[in-house]
Amino acid sequence: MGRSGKKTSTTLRPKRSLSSSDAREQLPSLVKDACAVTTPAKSLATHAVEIGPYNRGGAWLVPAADAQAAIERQESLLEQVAELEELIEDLTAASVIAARSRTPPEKWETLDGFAAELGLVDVLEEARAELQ
Amino acid sequence: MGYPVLLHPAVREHDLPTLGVEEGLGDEERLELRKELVRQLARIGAEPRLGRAMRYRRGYEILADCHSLPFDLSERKGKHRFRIVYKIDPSMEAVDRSLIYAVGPRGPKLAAYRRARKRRQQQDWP
Repeated sequence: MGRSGKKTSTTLRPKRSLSSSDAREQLPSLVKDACAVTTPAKSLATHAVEIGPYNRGGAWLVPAADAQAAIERQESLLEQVAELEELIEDLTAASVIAARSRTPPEKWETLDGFAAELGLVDVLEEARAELQ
Repeated sequence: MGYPVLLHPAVREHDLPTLGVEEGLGDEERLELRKELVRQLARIGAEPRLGRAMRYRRGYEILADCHSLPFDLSERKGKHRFRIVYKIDPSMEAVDRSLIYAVGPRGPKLAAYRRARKRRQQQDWP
């Protein structure tokens, strides 16, 4: 039997789950435990305590160290994505530039000619005047 | 007067007709986008070293002196969706002449955009 193409999602939950009233009673010790975490875990769920009515969750109490680390991970990933996007952009552009660089110089058009073809000479002149 | 700016003929013939189409822009917005493009080209003519210098690596030496200048509708907030790809002409007789190679969407969308353009060319749309 082959695997179906449908992806299954798993919801990550903290090991510890409390009702709202239990969490209210235990809040000082929960905060104390959270403050004691100085080395962040790889996952936000590791040290988190799930709080919600009837132990059904809905809110997480997370140590600041873990939250800070998660924010830093996200920022780092966003930077990596931006770098990869730039890389893809550059590599894609390289093929376009290579193909178009074969066009002889006399076939290229001037900016004035380009604007005239588009009927945007006034826009070009206005922009040039602003830049001076 | 500034520095000379030359555009590859495909910019007007192939890039412009599809500029903003995939992004769902209406006719008025696409006209405004073209105006913004002309304004940005005027900026390049005044100062050729605008935008991000493209990083060339082994096998991609053609990207030397190339820049990517993002642009978008002037009122739009957020990351600019389009870019101008140009090269500062490296030849001695053309100091600071900018060669505009392409105008299109930023980032990895370019591949899809190019496919759409190819389809359009194949079908000979108006």
